[in-house]
Amino acid sequence: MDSLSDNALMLQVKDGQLDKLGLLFERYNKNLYGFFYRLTLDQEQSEDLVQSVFLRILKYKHSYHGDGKFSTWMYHMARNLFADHYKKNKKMGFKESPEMADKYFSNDRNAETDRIQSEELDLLQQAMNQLSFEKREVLVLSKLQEMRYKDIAEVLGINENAVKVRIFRALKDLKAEYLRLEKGSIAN
Amino acid sequence: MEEQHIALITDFIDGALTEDAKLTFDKLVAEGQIDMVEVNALANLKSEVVNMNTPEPSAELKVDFYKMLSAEQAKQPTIRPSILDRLNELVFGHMLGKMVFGITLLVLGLVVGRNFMNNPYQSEISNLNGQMIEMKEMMMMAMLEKESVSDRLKGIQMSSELSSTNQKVIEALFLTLDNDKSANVRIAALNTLAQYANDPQIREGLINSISQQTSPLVQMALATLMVDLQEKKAVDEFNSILNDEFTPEEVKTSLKERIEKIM
Repeated sequence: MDSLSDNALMLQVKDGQLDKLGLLFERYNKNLYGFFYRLTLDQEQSEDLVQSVFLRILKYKHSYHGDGKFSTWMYHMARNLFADHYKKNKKMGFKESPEMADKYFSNDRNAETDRIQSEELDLLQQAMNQLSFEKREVLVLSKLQEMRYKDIAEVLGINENAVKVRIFRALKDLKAEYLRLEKGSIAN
Repeated sequence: MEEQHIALITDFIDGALTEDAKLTFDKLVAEGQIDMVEVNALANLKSEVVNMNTPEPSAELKVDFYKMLSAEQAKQPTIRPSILDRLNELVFGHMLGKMVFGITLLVLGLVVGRNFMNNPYQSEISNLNGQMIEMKEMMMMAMLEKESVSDRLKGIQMSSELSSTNQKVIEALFLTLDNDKSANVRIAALNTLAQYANDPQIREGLINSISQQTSPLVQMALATLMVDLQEKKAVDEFNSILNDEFTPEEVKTSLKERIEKIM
């Protein structure tokens, strides 16, 4: 096994070489942050959640057997953590934060094309916010390059066909929401 | 659109249709059971979702992570034997230890004996000190050559109790830093040498050691040290690692981030 593969590194972490977690952090912190950010739209919370995932990886390192993909195991943990986090706060769903979205999508260059693109993306994010948690989550997971339908199925604990159905319905709902918002913004 | 074709449609959107499935898909499109206008609209939307920008985490995330990792490493259960056990292990756990103990006892006996004969043997005490240091050095060198990683780590620990100006100790530490097969032992040697990095000769040795390292962990530790020392001469050495096609991308990224901090 390649000694720098995800699995090899995680097995070394399991054996007590905790410093090896640093390389896994370097590989995954941005994607994990993206996962949480798309679900919360909150920078601080997303960073806290990323940190908690790595803490949990250390806590449950003994349960890692290296027989599946490390990223699947990690996202499974990330998903559970997110569910716990929101159960604790008794607010399942997205935090509406147009200021955050504006802050993120604003562009100092102020070019007209950038503005239009930002508005479209903003609309897309708003449309995503209207979806049920289940549908938002599957779209966010399918956005991650390292996740194939098979991996998403493993993370969500459903079969691959059910993932396809969920993605299809999420896209249909997203399209409907997007068109509705677009119509509203034109009317305004 | 027929719900029963969802799997085919999502595979089409994902570009994952097999040859056979593609034939079935085309047939359903031709028969009007799948609406391509709708499918293309969903495919465009999916690609927009995939291409949505996500902001990057702040630099604090990395700082907090490494703080947490250090704290967790510090919490790792290390079996700390009692002082008596440690002394016992150190002295009687190895043949060399037993030898040192025997010789020390003999020398002590001689000194005490001579003192009883009322002779002023102050210089003998300093001789004894010198001999003790030599023995410690011998033990340290022997430990560094042991097969077991923990023995070699103990050797490094012993070296930190010896004088920084001792050339033999410094040479042994550099030999370990450049050649030990365990990255953990190399890092321990590096940490000890880093304490004396103000010495120009040691600093030069550390810079030369950069090109000897293949472990990303040691490379990263050396890079962090060079940033702390603001050692510009190290940049060329790191550039050769960055230009090496076998260096993993994530190591290159982390190294670049560190090197950029060397003004």
